[in-house]
Amino acid sequence: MTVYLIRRFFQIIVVLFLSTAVIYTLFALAPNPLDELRQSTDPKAQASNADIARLSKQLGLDKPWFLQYPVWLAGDTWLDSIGYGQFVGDRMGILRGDWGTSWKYQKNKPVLGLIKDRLPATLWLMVSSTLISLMIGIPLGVFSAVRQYSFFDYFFTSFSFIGISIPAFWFGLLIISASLVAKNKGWFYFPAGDVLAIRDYKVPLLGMVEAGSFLDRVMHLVMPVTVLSLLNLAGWSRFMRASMLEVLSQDYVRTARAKGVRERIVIYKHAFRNALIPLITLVVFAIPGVFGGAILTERVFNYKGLGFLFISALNLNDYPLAMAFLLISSILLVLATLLADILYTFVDPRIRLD
Amino acid sequence: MAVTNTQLEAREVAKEEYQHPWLDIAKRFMRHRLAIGSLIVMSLIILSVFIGPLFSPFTERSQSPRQKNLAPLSTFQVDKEIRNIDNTVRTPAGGTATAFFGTDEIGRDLLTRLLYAGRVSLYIAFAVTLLSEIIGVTIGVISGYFGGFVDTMAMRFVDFLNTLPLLPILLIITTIIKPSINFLIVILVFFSWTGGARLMRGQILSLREQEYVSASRALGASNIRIMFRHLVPNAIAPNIVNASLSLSGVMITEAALSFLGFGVKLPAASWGNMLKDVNLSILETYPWQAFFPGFAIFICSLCFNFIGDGLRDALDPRAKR
Repeated sequence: MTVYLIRRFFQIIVVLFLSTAVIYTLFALAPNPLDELRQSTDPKAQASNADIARLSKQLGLDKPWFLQYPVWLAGDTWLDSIGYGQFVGDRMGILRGDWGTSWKYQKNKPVLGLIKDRLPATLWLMVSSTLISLMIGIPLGVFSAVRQYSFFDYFFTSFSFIGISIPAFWFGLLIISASLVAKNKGWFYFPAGDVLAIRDYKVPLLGMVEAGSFLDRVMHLVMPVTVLSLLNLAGWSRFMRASMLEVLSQDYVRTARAKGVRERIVIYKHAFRNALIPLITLVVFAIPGVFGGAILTERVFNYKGLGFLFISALNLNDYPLAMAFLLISSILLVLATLLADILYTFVDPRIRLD
Repeated sequence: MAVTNTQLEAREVAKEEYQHPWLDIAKRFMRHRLAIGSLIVMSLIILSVFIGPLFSPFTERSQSPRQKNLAPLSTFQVDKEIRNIDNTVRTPAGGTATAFFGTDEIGRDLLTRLLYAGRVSLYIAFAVTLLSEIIGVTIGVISGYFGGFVDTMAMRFVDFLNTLPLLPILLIITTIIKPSINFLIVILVFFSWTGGARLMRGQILSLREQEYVSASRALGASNIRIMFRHLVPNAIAPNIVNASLSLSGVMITEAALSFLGFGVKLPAASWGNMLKDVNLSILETYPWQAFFPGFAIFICSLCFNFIGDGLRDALDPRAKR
């Protein structure tokens, strides 16, 4: 195990190093975002030469191309030791925790701070939808595996086909449209857009909802969580069903039945526990999903979380912000892969990693 | 060598009983009713998308600000004659036409636009899937057949591509490059061939140890011939199923990118980018403008998934659903 972990650790370093290189190259290929400022005809947006010089220093574009990537990684405080004393600055580089500052979205704010501000909204969304999908998806999958080929199983199969085929953003638009209809008719509705309301608003049945209260947050979460959960549900319950069917056909299940163990115990004690093992992968990979998974849903519902931040950063060519987002999501993805592998060995002693 | 009577008889019997494997597969596919239904619906959609616009009184770009936001099935007053791209008159002024699905916020007929957009969306879905399967199968068979260093490098590369978060990275690439439709296809292929390659490699690893491979090698067949004449046809079934299922995935990915404003760019229409400008006021007053394009994506993707399911049943009779 230790040997395995050490080997994996080095592999991860290599993969992450490659990821930073790919991410950096992508952004280096992009047209210089400052050109747009230089050519701007709008007198308000026009930047002086000093501004442009300052910005290109901030973005690291003043240095020769072969220095830009090392500077992004490790900062520019050490450049005099390799003979480029004229470029020495106070940047620390991502390896030392300086992920750069946003230059357009919110001027001169560290990108990590911006991401941290938006993280809670996205966490609310992802954690609640993951929990709901698991709580509904696991029993659905188990039930339709136990009653294979029953009416419920066919019904559930058609439902999951619809779930995997429906485009998430369109489903979001549909339920927003439904909530608008309900609102206009004076029925109970869920508010569309934003994480929290600005003013108090009135909803039938519940009465006044105070802006910023817990109830307000829940009201705003219901629709995006529904969309995300439906998406997860279709895939996860199908996965659970397949895993359960696989386990039910194993020899030890037959042995248990032959011993005369009651069917309930066979299913819940022998089969169910083993069928849960492959689900680890799904749950663990929901962690990087916090970053990338909700981009569409957040955009549809104007839910100002991380995905929304990322889209805004891209639309504004705010590259330091977009790069930080992308790098964090790939780090999480790599770590999730490792975590899944390790968890497997704990849960299932048959798997050895050495 | 003399051929005896019994041998001749045996050949006759074999000839009668022999059924081409594809015929057998087709028979099993026909038993999956939803898959057959989906195949019919899909053919109708493809047909109408390619022939439909020819019968429309409107062109792709024709717009009329006075006829904006019409409800479905309302009458469209043709104030100004509608001209084709080659400047011939398509519909003379003064008449009326039916806007079956209504019109959008600048007075374009939704049905006509939907059909043109369908050409783009379906073209992208089919092109990306076909190309990534071809690339995936080729890399998979080479990697599995030769093994060793080639295999390690190819699979490490596949692993690496899979560690990149797909949607964010696609969004970034399309921001930076602002691709044309064909370039968008190239970008999507780059990120979607890995599944097919993995499947193919897995199949080849078990097939290459079979006796018929050693037999044909002993007979002097070249590596290329063994790989593409003997191994690929025997290992292709999972890839066909995978292709059908990934048609749906590609279609939804493209729609998502275009919806966010990063995929197919105006003036070209795709089902995704027809939903791009939908906002709360449109959803409140003209909800059908958001309904039809998404419904088209949904139906196509559902059909692809059902066809894939039918193909899985037909190609792998041992697999239980």
